[in-house]
Amino acid sequence: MKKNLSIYYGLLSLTVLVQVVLTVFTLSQNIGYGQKISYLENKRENIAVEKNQISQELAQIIAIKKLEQTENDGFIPISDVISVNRDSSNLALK
Amino acid sequence: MNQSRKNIFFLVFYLFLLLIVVRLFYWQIYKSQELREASESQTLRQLKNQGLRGQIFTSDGYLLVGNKRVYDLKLDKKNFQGDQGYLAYKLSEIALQDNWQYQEADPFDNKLKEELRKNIEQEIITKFSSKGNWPKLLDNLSENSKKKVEALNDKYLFFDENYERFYPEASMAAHLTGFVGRDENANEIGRYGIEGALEDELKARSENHLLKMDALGFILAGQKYESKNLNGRDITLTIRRDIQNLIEKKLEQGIEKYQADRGEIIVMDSKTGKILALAAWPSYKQWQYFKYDGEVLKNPSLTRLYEPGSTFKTLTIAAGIDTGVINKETVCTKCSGPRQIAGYSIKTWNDQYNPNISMIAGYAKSDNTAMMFISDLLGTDRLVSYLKKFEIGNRINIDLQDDTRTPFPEKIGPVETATISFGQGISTNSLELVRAINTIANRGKILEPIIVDKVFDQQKQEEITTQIKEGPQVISEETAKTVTEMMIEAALHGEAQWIASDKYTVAAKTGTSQIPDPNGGYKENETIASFVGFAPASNPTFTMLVKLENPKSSPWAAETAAPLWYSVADKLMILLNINPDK
Repeated sequence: MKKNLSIYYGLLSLTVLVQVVLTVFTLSQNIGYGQKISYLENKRENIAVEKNQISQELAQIIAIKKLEQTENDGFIPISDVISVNRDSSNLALK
Repeated sequence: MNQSRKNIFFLVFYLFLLLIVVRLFYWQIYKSQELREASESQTLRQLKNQGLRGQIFTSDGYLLVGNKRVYDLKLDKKNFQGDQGYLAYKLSEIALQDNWQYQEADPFDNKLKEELRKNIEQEIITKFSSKGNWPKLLDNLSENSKKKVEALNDKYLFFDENYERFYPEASMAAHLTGFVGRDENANEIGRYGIEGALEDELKARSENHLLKMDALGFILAGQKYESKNLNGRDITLTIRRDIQNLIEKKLEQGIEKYQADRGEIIVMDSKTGKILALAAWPSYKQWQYFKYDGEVLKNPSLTRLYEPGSTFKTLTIAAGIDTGVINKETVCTKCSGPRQIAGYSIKTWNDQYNPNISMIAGYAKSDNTAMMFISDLLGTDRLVSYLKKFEIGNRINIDLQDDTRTPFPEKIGPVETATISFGQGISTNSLELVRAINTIANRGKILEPIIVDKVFDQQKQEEITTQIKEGPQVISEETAKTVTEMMIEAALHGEAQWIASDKYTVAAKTGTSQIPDPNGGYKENETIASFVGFAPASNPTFTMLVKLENPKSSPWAAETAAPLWYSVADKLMILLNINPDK
């Protein structure tokens, strides 16, 4: 009778232990899962913001009005035209 | 004895059990709602997802209207213990860089700069004393300004992120894009142009999720959470950036050169009806819409009605030829002097008359009596029926706000029939006229102008392309061909012959129309000069209208709108890669 009781309580304790371990494990998994979702969501949002910012900067750089402005800023009219012909004494090719 | 002890024990035991059951009932049934609420208030969090408003692109893939991140600056007033005056001064210096008045001012005008800074400083000081623990000190700060504020290292300052419309191409195509304003509840809403017409497509969606979270703000498992793309639909217009830029510059130069009050240029693909560019002047900056008069914000190509004048003769000619009442060599037997109709004397534009003039010459010379001759032969009903087939008075069916029907004369007597034949006494808008004239370029079939090329649905990741909207055959192909020949003749030997191109054929017509006076009759010294046509006439690629209101250098279209038309057309030939046909 005593032996049977020991086996009964032993099994019962083992079951409770397994249950406790499983519960702790599942909960930790759950917390990790929630953290992972939050982390990925955050990352996704940051990447979207970054992408938007890059495309915005790109659009600004290649804007036709800006390109024209740069073109005009860099334009230096030729004030003193030097014609070079084959007879020029300083022609390097000579 | 033993038995009674046992009974007492069990009685106590069962009473104890009953107590537990009652207590459980109390907590789990009676108090369940209260407990659940208490628990949820600790774990349930509302997560708001907000998408971005759809972007607008040109057909060649350039961003025309996008979204820019901006920041609102808030102060933790309750805990802030620093010097408010100093903080207001530093913030005003930073915010000044984002102020539009400062950006537009003369960079050397230090007095104005100081005045604007002081205004901002004063506004900030006022906000310090406002109600609430988190007053918003500044709004819509740029990324740069945010960094400068962060450099102040003030732990009581916080930022709220926000988005506003961004225009990398500055005010390009303002009348097409429209702008984003605010409704009566201060919510963002698109106004005018594409922003107004396609508000439902463009607007950002938002979603609220109620989720259980732990103390650190992480989502607890077992809940379905799906983050969706909530951005509005992206719109790609039919306009080309280079062509739009070209015509905007040309129009501005033309307005200055010919000293006009207003102007418009529309370029349409003759074979598809796609608007390649549309410019109107005066224009506005979309991000400063509040500075402009309401009239400037509207697209004049839809809202500004005018009497088209001689450009309208093309439709009368087309109706006459299509019904067979005339051909291009028909001789006008009523062109030797002014026409007397119902007590009115109707003259030609220069009061010169050409007896027995042919229709082709009459059209080239823009002879009003020749047009009245055609309307006599046609009769009112047939003329009106053709104008309706050309969709004069009908809305454009374009995705732009303010696209409505234009008034078509209700009672048309003999005088109205006569004046309508040469474009007076009937009003239209520029897009209607371009649509009608393009019918001739498109071999007699009407094409509805299109401004939206495609729409990209972010949720479904699906692209919806706009189909070409070809309407019925208005005039026969043969008639269209004959009218084209007459338009070529008008361009070569009409009033604008001095500017005609020697590289490509043009089928076009000038129009110098009078402006109705609100007090009756027409204004004495003001005209609307227009030139409409297509090129190359042998294989039309583009149809273009140039319209100048009240040009003061000359009232005549041949000396104002026509040279501007040709100067744009010369560039279009290159941009559209068209081979010269002469």
